[in-house]
Amino acid sequence: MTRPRAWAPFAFLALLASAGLLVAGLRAGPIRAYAVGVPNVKRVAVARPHHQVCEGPIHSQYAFASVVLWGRYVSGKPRVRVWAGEPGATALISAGLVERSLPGGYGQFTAKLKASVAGGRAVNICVSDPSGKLRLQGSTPGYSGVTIAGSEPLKAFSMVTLEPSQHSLLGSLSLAFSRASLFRPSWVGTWTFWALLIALLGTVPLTALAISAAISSEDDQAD
Amino acid sequence: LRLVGLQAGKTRLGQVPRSLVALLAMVTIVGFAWALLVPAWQVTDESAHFAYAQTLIQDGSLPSAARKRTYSSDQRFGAATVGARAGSTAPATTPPNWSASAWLAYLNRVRRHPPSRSDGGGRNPATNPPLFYVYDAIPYLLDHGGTVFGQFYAMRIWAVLLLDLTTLGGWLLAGEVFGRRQSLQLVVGGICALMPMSTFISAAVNPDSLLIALWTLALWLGARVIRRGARTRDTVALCAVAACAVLTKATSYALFFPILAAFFTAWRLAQPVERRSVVKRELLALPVLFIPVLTWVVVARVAGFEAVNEVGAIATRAHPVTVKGFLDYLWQFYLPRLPFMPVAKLGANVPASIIWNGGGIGMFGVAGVNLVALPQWVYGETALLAPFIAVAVLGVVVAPTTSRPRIRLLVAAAVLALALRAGGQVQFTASITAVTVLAIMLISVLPFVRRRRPTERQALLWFLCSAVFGLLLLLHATDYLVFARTHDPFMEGRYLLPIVSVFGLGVALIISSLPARLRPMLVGLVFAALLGLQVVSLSSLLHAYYL
Repeated sequence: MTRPRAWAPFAFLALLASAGLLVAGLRAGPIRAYAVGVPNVKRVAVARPHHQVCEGPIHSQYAFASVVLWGRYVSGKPRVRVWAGEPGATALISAGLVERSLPGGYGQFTAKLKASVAGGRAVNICVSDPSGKLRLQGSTPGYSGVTIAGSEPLKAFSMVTLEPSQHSLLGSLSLAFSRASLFRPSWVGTWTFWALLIALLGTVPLTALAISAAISSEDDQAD
Repeated sequence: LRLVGLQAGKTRLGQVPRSLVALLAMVTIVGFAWALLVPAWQVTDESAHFAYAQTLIQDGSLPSAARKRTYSSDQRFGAATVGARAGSTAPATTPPNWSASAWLAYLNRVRRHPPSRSDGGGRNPATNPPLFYVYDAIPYLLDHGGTVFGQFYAMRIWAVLLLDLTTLGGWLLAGEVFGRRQSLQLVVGGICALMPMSTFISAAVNPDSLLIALWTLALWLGARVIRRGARTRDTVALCAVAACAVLTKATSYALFFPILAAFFTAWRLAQPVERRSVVKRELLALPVLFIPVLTWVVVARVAGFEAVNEVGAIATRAHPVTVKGFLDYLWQFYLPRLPFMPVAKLGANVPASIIWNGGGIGMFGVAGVNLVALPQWVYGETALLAPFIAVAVLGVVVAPTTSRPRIRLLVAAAVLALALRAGGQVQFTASITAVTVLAIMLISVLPFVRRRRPTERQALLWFLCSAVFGLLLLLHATDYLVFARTHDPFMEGRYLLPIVSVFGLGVALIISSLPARLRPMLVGLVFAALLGLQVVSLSSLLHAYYL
């Protein structure tokens, strides 16, 4: 006796799992527009009253509307102001406040800017805290070469910027693949990851085929 | 003649089961995805392993403290440009460099002024024997004229073959243990390769990929030795594979336990008149294991290279190493600390829950520096699953023919696990798993303690338990030594992967003990879970590094 539908339970379970993954994949979340490439290893600057800490110039390819920093509050709730400005000029492009403090006062802090900053232009990111409670975390300059203005020896605080709108994972695949195709062998491009995605989808029928063939062979043996 | 040869080759290929071909195709696709998706040098110790391979290929020598730099200019420039720096990035703050202009600038620079590939080779954190790096020389040389990234990813893609070998090893092992029941072989092969941590570490520049493949093959050959009366080709093949494993990583000295178990058991299972010839065949095979290993030990000593990973001591942190201290440590690794015990292990109440469960399922990146973790619920749910699998295996071992005791055991485990979950103490499920595994190990020894001739099934159980015991003993002894001497963390979930096939056999054993009509559903459930875990893991990587 053969059971040609031995794959059916797997197909049903795969369908269920796919539905769950689809729902998760369609959930919108923040997408990073730019990263300065500096790990948050140690304290590199203190945002004191009447003293701004600026880092740049950063060249974000994409527009951004939020800035994420890593740091520590000494105590209480600081009032951290973050703004983007043109390098070497006083002109302000956009500014915002850190939205909420963290439990424990340590970790990453997000400042939502009032207006988004267009991509493709050089900007400085500055931070100030009238309460003087914020210690910024960072390290030595990363691959972007961006540093804190006037720091000696050269230091940089950890920072990433977020795109103005949130996107789902499935909606961001093209962006992710274009980023993943850099620093790869010469034959790898965005197409490679699309091809791999299609091949990965092909593993579902392959599994069904494998199960079906395995069960059939056992049925044949039993016969 | 050529036509006849081609025909014979086609016939042999045609005999390869379709389910195995489909499984290998699936594993290759998934392996490729991991190899290309994970940024360069972001798998555990990949920087050190790449540097070791590059030194071996460029200079024909082992890394040595006599040289100044560990990493060549070629590797350092590539790593600095992509953002890997000291071998790792923190994905949240330091994702890999996304700048297309930086990539083009890098290509222009290395074309005009190629950085040196042979000015590295200094003291290397990787102190393994050279077999894996010799294997990795092939793709490196194939892309010798390319960039460091071309060579690096060629090595990763080449490693996918080892993932296929692990899959094949799992398939063959299951065939030896359960007979040629393809659904069970499919389950074991699939678990070996598609557990996300296994895919992650196997599709990488890391000797663990070869180690896992060789251990899986060694377990298959050991099972053959037991089941087929220690034929010369099996004993020689087992010793050869074990020698290769030792020449890959010192962890494989633990393989001596299952090899001895296999040889002893084959002798016990043989008829009294055949025992002398069995011993003769086994003794004849041993030089295949010991000659390469001893040669390596001598060569390493002469070259001033560590033949076995040595544990150094930090005088200010060192504690005395004692048997009582080891037992305290062992208890606290798996069970809650008792009031009279000194704190013998840093970290959580039951480190096993985080290290074995978390690190065994999937914690990607460079351990101890940064990690890309899966969503927390994945660890929570899989932690609940582990004791069920262990208890179910115990049930089948204790009562292979009657189902009532098995059901009772499973219900008890379910009640306990759910109670722990309700009480927010999921970590103690690792304790239940550990106690159950210990019980299975003790049961496996019983026929030998009672001096009874074991059945083939009991012999196989003892052999597999000896592999688990050998590996765990070596890992815990090293972990305790490192802890006592330096207080540094050592243990990682991936260290269990050499026996991932035993876990696969456990799951297959449970499936085999249930009614045959349920088998398609259960096999489907296993694969749906494996593929689901793969998708969740790859999505987590995509998010962490590229979005």
